[in-house]
Parts: sequence; C-alpha cells; structure tokens
Amino acid sequence: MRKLSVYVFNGVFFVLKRSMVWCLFLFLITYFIVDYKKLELGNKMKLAHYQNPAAFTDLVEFLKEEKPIPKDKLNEYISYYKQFIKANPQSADAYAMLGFCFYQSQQYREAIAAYQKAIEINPRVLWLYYNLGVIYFKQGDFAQAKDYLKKAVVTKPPDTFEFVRSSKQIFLPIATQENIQLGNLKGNIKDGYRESYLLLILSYYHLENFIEMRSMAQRALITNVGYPADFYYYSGLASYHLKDFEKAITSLQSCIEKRRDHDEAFHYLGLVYQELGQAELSQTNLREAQMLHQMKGDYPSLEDQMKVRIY
Amino acid sequence: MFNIFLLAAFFVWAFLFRGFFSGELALTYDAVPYYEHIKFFIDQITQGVFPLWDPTRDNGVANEFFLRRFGEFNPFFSLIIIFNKLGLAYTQSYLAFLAVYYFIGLVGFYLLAKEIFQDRRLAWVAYLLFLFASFGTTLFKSFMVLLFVPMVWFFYFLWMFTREPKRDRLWGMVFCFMILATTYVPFYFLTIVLIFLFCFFLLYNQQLKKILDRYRKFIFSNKLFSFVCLILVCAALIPGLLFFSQMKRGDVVFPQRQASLMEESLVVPMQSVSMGGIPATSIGGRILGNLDDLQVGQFYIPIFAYVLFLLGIITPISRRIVFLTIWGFLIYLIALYDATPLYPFLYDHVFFFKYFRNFQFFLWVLILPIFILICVDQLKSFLEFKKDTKKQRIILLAFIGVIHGGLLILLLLAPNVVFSSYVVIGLSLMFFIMYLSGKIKMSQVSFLLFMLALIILQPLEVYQALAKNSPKAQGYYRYDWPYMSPNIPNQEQKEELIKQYDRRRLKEPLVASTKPVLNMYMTTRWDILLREQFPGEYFTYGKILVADAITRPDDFLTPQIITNDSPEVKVLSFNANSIRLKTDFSSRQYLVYNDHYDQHWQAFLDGKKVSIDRARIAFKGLWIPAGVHELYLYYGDSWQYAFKYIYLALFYLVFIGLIVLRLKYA
Repeated sequence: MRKLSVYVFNGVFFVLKRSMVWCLFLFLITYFIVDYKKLELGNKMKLAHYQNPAAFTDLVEFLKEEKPIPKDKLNEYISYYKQFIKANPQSADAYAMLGFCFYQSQQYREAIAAYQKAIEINPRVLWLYYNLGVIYFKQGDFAQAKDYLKKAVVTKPPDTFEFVRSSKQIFLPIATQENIQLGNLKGNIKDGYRESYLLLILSYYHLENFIEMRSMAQRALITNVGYPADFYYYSGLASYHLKDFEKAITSLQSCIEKRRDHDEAFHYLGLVYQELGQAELSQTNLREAQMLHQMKGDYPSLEDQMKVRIY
Repeated sequence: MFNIFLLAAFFVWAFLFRGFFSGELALTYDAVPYYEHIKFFIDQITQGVFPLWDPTRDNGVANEFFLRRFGEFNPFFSLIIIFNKLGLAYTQSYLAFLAVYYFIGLVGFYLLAKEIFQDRRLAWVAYLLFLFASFGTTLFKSFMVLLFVPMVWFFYFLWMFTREPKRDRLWGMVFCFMILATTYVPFYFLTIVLIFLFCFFLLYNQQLKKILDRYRKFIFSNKLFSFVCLILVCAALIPGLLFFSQMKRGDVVFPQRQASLMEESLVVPMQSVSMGGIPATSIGGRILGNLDDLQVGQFYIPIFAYVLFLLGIITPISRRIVFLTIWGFLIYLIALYDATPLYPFLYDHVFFFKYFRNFQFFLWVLILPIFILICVDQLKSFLEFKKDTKKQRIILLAFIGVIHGGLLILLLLAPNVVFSSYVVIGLSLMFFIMYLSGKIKMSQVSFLLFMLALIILQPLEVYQALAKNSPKAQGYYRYDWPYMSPNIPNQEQKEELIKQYDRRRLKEPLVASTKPVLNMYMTTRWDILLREQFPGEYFTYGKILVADAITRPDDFLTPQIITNDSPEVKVLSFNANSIRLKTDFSSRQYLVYNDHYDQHWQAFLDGKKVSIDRARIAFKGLWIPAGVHELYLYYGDSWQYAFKYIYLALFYLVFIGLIVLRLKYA
C-alpha cells in the first residue's frame, strides 16, 4: 500500500513537472481573468463588417432620399447594435442607433427604452432628448414630449458635437458613407436646437399652456437658433390665446416683416384685429392670409416634418 | 557551413515571395504609406534636402510625424540608395532593403537562439520556424520589421553583455536602443522590456547580484566609454520628446484617431477588444485548416511547431520555459485590451499606455518568437531524454505515436487541410522513430536536412496559395507620380506635370474636396476650421493666388490663379521645405500660397524677413509691393535642420563604431 502511494505520488509529481501542465495552468488562469464573452463579441464585431461604411448604404439612402429601409436590413442593424452593446455596454452612441432603428421599425416602446438608456450613460446630448421628444409628440403624449424637449434645449452644443464626432465605430461609418463634413454636423446641431424649440412650443400649445409657450418662443429668439419668423409667429399665437392682443400684434407683425408669405401670421393677425373690433384691418389680413394659402397650396405641417435623427 | 544554410533557406523563402519582390503583387495597408514616406524622404535627402514639410500631402503638413514613424536616422535606409545606384528601380530597391533588413533580424534571432540553447542546430530550427512563419508576410502589409529587427538585436546584445560585459556588446545595445527610441512608438519596446525585467526579477533574482556586480565592474573599468553610451541613450530620447512637445501645441490634428479635437492630439482613447488587439479566436481558425486562403498579415506557423509544442506533455518544466511563458502570457493579456482588467489598469495608471494602440503588434514581435523558442526548448529537452534502454525507447516511441496520431485525427477533423500537413506529420513520425532508434544523430547533417524538410514542406504549399490570394499591384504608389519630384523641371516638363496633375485631379475630382474630415488621418487645425466653414468645397484648384488690394485677406472672391510661370509670378526654385518666387506686379498685391499655414513658416522678401498671415483661414498669405521682388518662403528654423543632420551623422557614426568594435573583439 505504501509502495503504491509512493508510485502515485511520484507519478503526480512527474506529471506536474511537465511543461504542458504549466501551459495548461496558465490557460486556466485566463479562464478567470479574461472576459471570454467580451472577447468573442469583440471578434464578432470585427467580423461583422460594420466598420465598413458600405454596410450602411440602405440607412444613408433613407437619410438622404427617404427611401424606406427594408425590414430585414433594419433587423440586421438592430441585431448588430445589440451585439455591440453587449460587448460595449457603456456605448451611448450604440444605444442611440438602436433606438433609431427600433423607431424606424415602429417598435416605439423599445426605441424609447434605448434612448433612455443612452441618456443614462450620457445625459448631455441634444439628439437623445430631441428624439424622445419627437417620439412622444408623434404619439400625442405632449406632457412627456415637453419634459424631454425642455432638457434638449438646455444641452450644450459642444457636448453634442463631440458625442457624434468621437463615435468612431457607430457614427463615423455612417457619416463617411453619407459624406458628412464637420460643418454639416454643426449646422445640423443648430437645426436640432431650432426644431427642439419648435416642438417644445407646439407641445405647450397642445397642452394649452400659452404662458410657457410664449416664454419658450421668446427664449428661442434670444438664443438665436435661426428662422426668427417662426418664433415671432408662435409668440403672437400664444399672446392671442392669452388675449394679450397688443403683444400679439407686435409679434405677428415682426413675423410678417421677416417672412412676407407667412399666411398663418396674417390669419391670426386678422383674428386679433377682429377681437379688437377693427373690421377693416381684420378683413385685409384675413384676405391676405387666404390669398397666400391659395398660392402656397397645402403643405406638410411642422409636426409632420419632424423626424427622429441620428446627428 | 551554417552561414550557407542560413542564406540558402532565406533564398528559398525569398523565392516563395518572388511575386512581392518583383513588384507584381501589391503592398497593402500600412506597408503602402511606409513605402511612400520613406521614398519621399530618400528622394529629398539624396537632393540634400531634409524634408521637414510635405507640400504634396493634403495641401501641406509638417513631415515630422511621418519621419518619426519610420525613424529617419536608421542607417540601413542607405541600402535603398545603394541598390538604386546599382541600377534597381526605387520600388525594387525598397523591397530589396526590406528583404535584407528582415534577414538581418533573422540572423539576430538565430544568434540569440544559439546563445540560449548553446547549440547551433537548435538555433537553426528556431531560425527556420521563424523564417517560414508568417511574420515575413508583414513586410508587405505592415512595418513591424522596423520594430522587430532592432529589438531582437537589442536582446541579443543584452544577453551577451550580461554573460560577459564587453564594449562592443554594450555599444550594440545602445545602437539598437537609439533606433528603437526614434522609430514609430517606443512604447512597444518599453512594455516588452519592463515585463521582461519583471519576469527576470521574479525568476532569476538569485543571479541578479552577480549580474549587477559584473555590470558595475565593467562601468568602473570603462568609465568614459560608459558615459558616452549614457549620453547616446539620452540623446536618442530627444527627437521623441521634441516631437511630443510639438504635437502638444495642437497645430496638427488626427481626426480619425482623436476622441476629441479639443484634447492632445497624440492621446488615444482606451482601446476595446471590439476595435483591435490580438484576435485570439480568429487565430484558432487557421491553426490546422483553412490555410489555402491565407493572406498577407494573417497568423501562420508551420505545423511542425505544434508537434514540438506537444512534446511539452512529456518534457520537464524548466525555469527558462516558465520565464518565457510568463513573459509572453503577460504581454498577451495586455494585448487583449478590455477583455481583461490588466490593460484598463495600465491605461489609467501608467502614462505611456495613453499614447499607443495596435497591440496586435505584440503577437508578431514577441509572442511568435517566444512561442518558437518554447517549441525549440521542448525539442531540446526531448532529444536529451535517456533512451539507452529498450523500455525507455518504447515509452518514448509510444508517446510520439500518440501525439502524431492525435494530430492526424485533428487534421482529419479540421476544414480545408492542405495536403502537405499530412506529409509533414508522416515525415515527423518517421524522423522521431529514426532518431529514437539511433539511426539519426543530432551531430549529423541528416538531422539538419530533416528539420529543413519538416519545417519547409507545408509553407511551400501554403505560400503558393498566399501568392494566389494576394492582390496584384496597380501601378504607381503615391510618391511614384512624377510631379512629386522635388526638382524644378524645364517649361515643357512643367506643363506636362501640370497636365498630369489636372488629369489625376479630374480622375478623382472630388476626393480631396469632399473627403470627410471625420475620416482624415492627419491635417492642420486650420484645415479643420476651413472645412467646418465651407463643407463640401475646396480651395486649392491653384497653388498660388494673387488678388488686388482688398480690405480683408480672407475675402478672396476673384483671385488670379497662378498655376504656371507667368510674367507676374515665376517659380525660381522649389523643394519640400521652401519655395522661391520672383514677382513683378504693376500694383501692390496680396499673394496667397495655397499651402497650409504653420507657425514655423518664414518669409523673406528681397532677403528681409517679413511676417506671414494666416490667409483664407488655412493658408499662407502676405502683401507683395509693386515691382520686381524675390519672395522666399521657408519652413523651419536653422537649428532644426542642423539638429537633423547632426543626428543623422551620429547614427551613422555609432553604426560604424559598432562594426569596428565587433571586428576588434572578434
């Protein structure tokens, strides 16, 4: 028995002193140190060819020409971004793209969740709040839309710019395929702030909170986000509903000065004069509004034009 | 005899890659810009111009970044000039240089292996395994040979100096360090050396005192020599430090790499395994099978290495094996980026980890050679096994049979296995049987020939396939275009060059103009500003613009575009760093040279220094009075050029000193 135990001991000792056992030991260590899931996902990312801008041809055609993205392609994108997030859980940009893709495939609850997760990771980006605002607005939930759009307008443009610019694996391939320049990015951000203010104003309008509506319009004018005519119009519209007709006239006239073809401004100016009992002025403005409307024809409303954006 | 064997094996390897060396198959990825940057440098330096500026790249950029990448002081680049003077075209001269430089690295590896194993034959095996592994393919895809060669010689000299301190060995270490410190990013070497020292302290601490005593004795008996070596080591750090401080100023930006344009341009964001690093699982896909679609830069090692590796099942562990495996293992873990906690820790706490990436390079410059050394060490241990008794021989034979049988089964299960893999397994089995039965001895030539056959057979088939899988060369590389020549040609040639330039521009009319800045590798911060303000447009349809007196230099609405010599503007001389113009305007004019603005540019009007504006957002401009004048625009300060030439001379002197010392001590 004793001899057997000596043989066994010597045998074990012999095996432990082999080079291969040492290599196996190191391999075992890697099992505890290395995150194999991340490694495997990382390799999948590299193999998925989504660093190649050409992989986003469908997406870019949708962005430029509004050609709908085929459903199977959308599902591919969704699957890719999900995998990317598994490998890189702190990627706000990947969550943002996931939200965009969910929205395009009409999975609105999932889109909202993705954008909210993105905001958790990076709460300083205009587009994340803006897109949530658009989604809630289009669903008719103006209270939620208002909350998110209020946060959108107080973000800082440099933070949004760096968020997009530094996204090498998510936004860069798309931007390369779309041939976006830095100047375009900055211009888009300015447009984003303007649209955020417009949607916020409209949200207050639907909530019939005309005081806040007018206040936001004034703030947009001070912030100089562009297209002041629209903000003068909404300021005038809010004043009209608040029965502050003097302010309404001032704002609507300012709007008309900036844009002579603003039929709605003429229309509400006519209504204001009507309220003030100035029939002649009222008729003139209402006629002008009708004429302009006939000339311009039917055009999509601002609400219809708003859409979820990438950058 | 061994020297002939080394050369012969190398010629066989070169023959397998004849498609690349003849220029028929293309250089790809990083190999292309390195070819271009080195050619630009060689073209200029042979004209007596040290190119600190490159006017041909994206409307002009400082060239220091590219010089640092390939290490312009390396004396071996003169081989390109020598080959070119002997009649080879530049491309062939460059490829020949790569081959020779690679061979020098292989010799270094052979000598190092010879010292480690104290056996030429085993060093021969290590040499062959490394030669026929796919590191050689990186010559045509990457620039790692520029890192590997000085590194392997550094470790060779370090080994030799540690064994027996001598002047030539220390000088060799210093020379290799000087090249490593001035080539690309020295942090790969620094990481490798630090991990090496850590492993050494861990496993050889008992010998440390003796080694340090030897060093001390040498330094005290060679004080002046040691001091000179120290000065040289410190001097080698200066170009990198100067470059670092230059980049910190922020004139140069790297849109593609920088996480933010506001931050320091050399800082890289923390890397993720989804962006790079050692792709461990994709190596696995090509260990035994799928070798028929091998491409340049993909990992491959001859199958006989795996036979040797499996000998480790029976060969005893040694301190050397433990040292090599820990060294390679730690580097491997770092190279997995954020798949382990090690890299994130080092990124946050060790400053230089913020300044380099592409950790897959470690696979080629360290892990592959270490793996080969481990395999050869196991071969050594196996060959030293006692096989005097029949029982011992039967046990060893049985073991050999099992590992070869196991490998054969794995080959049968693997996809797309090349036929030569089976041949090698069969031949390997035969070799070990013959060796264990005493029919082959290590001292015989047959041993060497068997090793050659076992290692070379599979690569003969694999590299044939690789040549078929490689893209053909398309013609000119960037700096092969005639108009990139620094010489001012005659009028006819100038017109031809301008036509060619226009043709190229017309062929790719919008490449430069609409290239997304987000995707640009390198440019000036003024260029970024220009593209932000005018996205989608481009302003260098002419090199020199001239306009009448205007209120603001940026209001350049209707300039006269000068693309050729005219009575008003004539180019007297031009090279990478300067341009000399003769002007003859009837009235005061504002001249813009559509070459990027940089604070180091200087202007001299009729020999007197004048200031240069940053004109049209990103370019150089200044007022020129009426009448005949000579304008000289010149990049850099005199001390910068003096510094470069002194360093170039210094590196050559150190190299010559190394040869002299080696001959003396030989």
